[in-house]
Amino acid sequence: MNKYLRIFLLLLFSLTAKFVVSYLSSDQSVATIDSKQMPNSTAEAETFLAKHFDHNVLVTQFDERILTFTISSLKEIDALDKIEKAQNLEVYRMHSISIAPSNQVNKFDVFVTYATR
Amino acid sequence: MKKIILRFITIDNVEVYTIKRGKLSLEKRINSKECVKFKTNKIMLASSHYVSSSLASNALNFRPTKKQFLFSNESVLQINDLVCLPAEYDETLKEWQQTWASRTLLLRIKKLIPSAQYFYPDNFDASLPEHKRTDLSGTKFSNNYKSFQLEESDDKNTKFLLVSSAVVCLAIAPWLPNNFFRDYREVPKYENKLSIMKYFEELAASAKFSGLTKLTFNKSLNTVGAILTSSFTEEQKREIRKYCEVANCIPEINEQQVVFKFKRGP
Repeated sequence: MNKYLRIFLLLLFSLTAKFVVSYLSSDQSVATIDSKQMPNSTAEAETFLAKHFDHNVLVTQFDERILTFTISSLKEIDALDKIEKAQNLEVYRMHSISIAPSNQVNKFDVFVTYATR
Repeated sequence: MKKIILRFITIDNVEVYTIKRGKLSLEKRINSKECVKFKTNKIMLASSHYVSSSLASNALNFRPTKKQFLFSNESVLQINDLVCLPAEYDETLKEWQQTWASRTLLLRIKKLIPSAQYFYPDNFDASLPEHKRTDLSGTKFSNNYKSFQLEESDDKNTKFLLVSSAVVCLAIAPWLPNNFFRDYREVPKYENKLSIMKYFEELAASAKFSGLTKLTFNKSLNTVGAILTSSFTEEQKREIRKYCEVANCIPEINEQQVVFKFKRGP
């Protein structure tokens, strides 16, 4: 067999094997994330969370153990939506969610705490 | 696509053969200017363009190497201008045979036929007498026949090494971890659904909570905490205890605050 053909068969075999291995070992419990997208500071965390919640977020604590933030002055329907979104954020482990009436009438504040490790 | 091989006889006489089922078939005769039309890398050399000679086996007391030229005494070519095929031993005739040609001549042919790479001496069919080699139609032909190649084998090896290295790199690339090229990291995905929320909804409906100051769902402790603006009434406390018996949770009631401790996976 032509030696060039052999090495191209090696490439084909490698690509096929990789595809099969990736398919068989696909693990839904692990997300591969570009670490540049993960926040490293309070400001970055606020941007990251604002994008996820589609609302301004005030981060009150962000360190290597905990992430706490507040989403303020939400209508009831929006508060429920943010609570739902908080449960859908999968890259941090949920610790707690609190809901309390806001300073404004018929509005609510949502307080969320995640473990960051 | 037709496999074509050109037989270079003279500058004005080039035969075009097609290879069908390993046999040559003469298509037409052309002159060398028309050769550029044919994209073939195989050229047959007529006998006037190469030399063959043989040497009795007992004349040699060693086995020649592939590149060794045995007929330097007979050849008029300078060693730099010489391309030779490896010497072959003919068992029946008990002699060493070798064929050689002039590199300059082959380069001249290559200039006329730029795609030329392999130059086959037309004596590959030993059974065919030289005087009958006017037309090689019907003669067997194989790419594996020995041919002169102007490209140095070292260059060929380098080319092959480069291609194979590139292919090996391509073959390895998919197996490298993602963070080899980019700053990727694997982050575990967490299931953050608060299942305790739905249980509290049932309680809130039955206990008629009013004046809620704060409501906390703690997933880590699996608790729900509620703080009211006023103390719990006896009615509310009864409702809470009744609910907890059914929902299998432990209530901790303290003035305006209640904490429901749910067992894991309520």
